[in-house]
Amino acid sequence: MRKTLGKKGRNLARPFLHAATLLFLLSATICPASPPNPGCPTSPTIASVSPSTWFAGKTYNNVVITGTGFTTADKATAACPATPVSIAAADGSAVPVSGVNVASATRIVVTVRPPANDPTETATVTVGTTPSTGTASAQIEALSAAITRTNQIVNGIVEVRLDAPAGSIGNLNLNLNGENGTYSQSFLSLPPGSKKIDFDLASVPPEIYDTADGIWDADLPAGSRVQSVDVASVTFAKEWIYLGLTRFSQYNTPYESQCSGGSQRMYVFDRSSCTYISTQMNSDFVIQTALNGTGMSVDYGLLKPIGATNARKLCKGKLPPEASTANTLVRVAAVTGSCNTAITANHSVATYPNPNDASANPLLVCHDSLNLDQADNTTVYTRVVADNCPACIGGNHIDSYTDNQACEAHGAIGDLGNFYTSTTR
Amino acid sequence: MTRGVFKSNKTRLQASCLRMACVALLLLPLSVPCYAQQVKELPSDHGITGKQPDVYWHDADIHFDLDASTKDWGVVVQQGSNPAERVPLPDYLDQVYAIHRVAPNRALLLADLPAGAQFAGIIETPPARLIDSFWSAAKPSLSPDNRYILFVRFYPMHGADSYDDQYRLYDVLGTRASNWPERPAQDGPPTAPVSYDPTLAGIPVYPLKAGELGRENTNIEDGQAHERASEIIWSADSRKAVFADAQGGAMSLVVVTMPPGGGGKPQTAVHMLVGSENACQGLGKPLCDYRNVRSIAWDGDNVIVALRIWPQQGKTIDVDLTIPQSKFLPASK
Repeated sequence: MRKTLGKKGRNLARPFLHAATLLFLLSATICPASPPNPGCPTSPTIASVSPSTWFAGKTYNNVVITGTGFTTADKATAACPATPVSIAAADGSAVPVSGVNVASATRIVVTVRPPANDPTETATVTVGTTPSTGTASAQIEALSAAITRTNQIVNGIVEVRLDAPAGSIGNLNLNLNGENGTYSQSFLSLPPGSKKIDFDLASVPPEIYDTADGIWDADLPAGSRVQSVDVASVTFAKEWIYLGLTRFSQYNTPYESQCSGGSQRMYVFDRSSCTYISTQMNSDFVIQTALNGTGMSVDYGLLKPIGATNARKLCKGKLPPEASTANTLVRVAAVTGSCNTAITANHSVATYPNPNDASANPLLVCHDSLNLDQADNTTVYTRVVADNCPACIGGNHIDSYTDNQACEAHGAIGDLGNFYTSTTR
Repeated sequence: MTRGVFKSNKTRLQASCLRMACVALLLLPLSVPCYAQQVKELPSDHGITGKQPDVYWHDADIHFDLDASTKDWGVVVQQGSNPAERVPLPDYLDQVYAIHRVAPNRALLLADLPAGAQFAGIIETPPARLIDSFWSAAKPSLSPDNRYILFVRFYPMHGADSYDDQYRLYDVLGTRASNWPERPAQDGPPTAPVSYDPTLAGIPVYPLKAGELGRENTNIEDGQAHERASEIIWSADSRKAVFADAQGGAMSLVVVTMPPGGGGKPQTAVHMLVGSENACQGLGKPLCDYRNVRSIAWDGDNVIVALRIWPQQGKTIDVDLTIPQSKFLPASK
């Protein structure tokens, strides 16, 4: 069936067709030649076919074949049936024809439907039955639009292939289909060929998108009217989770060695033994550690404010007197995020809701890889989800962990920037 | 109300006179008179730029200007023809985003701290000095008349397993004693470990249930943590504020009514969204946080809330509710 054959199918069909032709020739040499149909007074001929140019994928309901020697249904006999019509593409495969109406001895009206994947090629229109046939040529013009690649959808990019006669041009309307709606964008005056399509990231609403489709309104040359060509729906290999323009603030592990403040008395608590010591620490370091959740001390290694640990539960009754975030730091082995993995500078980010809390049904989960794009659909940074950021509530805000060891504030650690952010999963 | 982006001076003058000072002058003896006013503050969606932008509040009788020209930041207060005074600011501020004059002799300074935490400081004059300050885990919400701040008690911004949003109310015209009722007398940074919890500014307004009131606000048992689910929305007269709070897969609206006449205690009332109002009815796909709340507004004494339900299959469902004050019950104590 030609309609179901793609290009591969057509290529596969060729050997079979050649074999059929060979079989026919062999038969012809063995069997006597068929005599002219005695019931038909003359062989049919074709003078013209109108229209004689057909666009792939379109339906032509009134293709008029004019000529001579056609047998109408009312004059048909068993020996001379109504004149049949067939159309063959250049490779011999059949072009679907239906609704054959032999209106008179000189006029036949048919419906022709060249498949959407037909290339530009010549077709042969045949009336009658072998060997009493008439033929004429017609032209099939490729006309199709397809999304051919979606592997860059994380950048808001797809690739399309537009096929139409040279000189065609038209607006391509592509849809991104998501859980809660469809985003449509027009790409104006596109000629045939392969195109990389950049969606306008500033306009695409945050959503989980899984398919794309569309329509190409091709304005064909030589006075042909505009033809609407469907772009078949394509399912992305992975869902595109688009967050929109997102602020990336930054947090760090301040180093006490970088601090310039005075000193204050603090408790340093060891969870492994549930013991503590009283010591002096830099006051700026204490403040920055309380804010950021971790700090690298000069004498005690990595520390966390007590409120960011489970020390209270683990060592109940063994804490320093009146232990609080302001006066007690706890020794830890590594900077870990809520995903229970060590977080890495310039790589890990914190998001909201907690990416490790399945009950919160977070949009971003642990280990999601994020693309941080500019408006021109190019990636500036990539980051991986590893931590919780309660300050990021409300959306459009992610906190990125930086290797900056600054202990000071006053904008010492500015934002990474605002980026069009997405992931695929 | 003076919040907003960089408006033109003319716009700000009109806005401030119409919305705050002129009205407040009739209502509150301590409120700010209708002076010609020029204000510059950062937009609500500002980031941290690394270079402190200009921030100031200018009235005809007094100017408050942030001075970040050196590493030692301060606020320069110029009152009439008196010599300018400089109020030193803590060196841990990341970026100042607003100064509000809250009374004839007081101003409120709001700033970002590292890692997303927030700072609020009260400047009093004369003599000009920082008389109090506190941290918040989320952007503090200032009442339209600049009298009250509703905020979330501070917790370290990273590293805890879970966070409990505990809402507290701070009276910018109050005293240190009235605004720190749960903290022992020692004030200022301790020189030694003492009974001092700098996270307990203001008075608690939610949650107030036994077992929740006064508890630690990190590493809470699963399903027990409170989580803010909306902005804090004030009534135009600054008498009430409403917000959404989620806990254990249930959403509640919380109304905090300010103390009458500025004295006494605030009242907290809660309306849990259940049954047909339940925005968290996720049909097997639990979702119960800020994503369920499209907006909250006041309509007289009614709360108008626009909810979004996320079913397991199909598109989201939007529900708009009008909840009268009578449906709110006093928060359990």
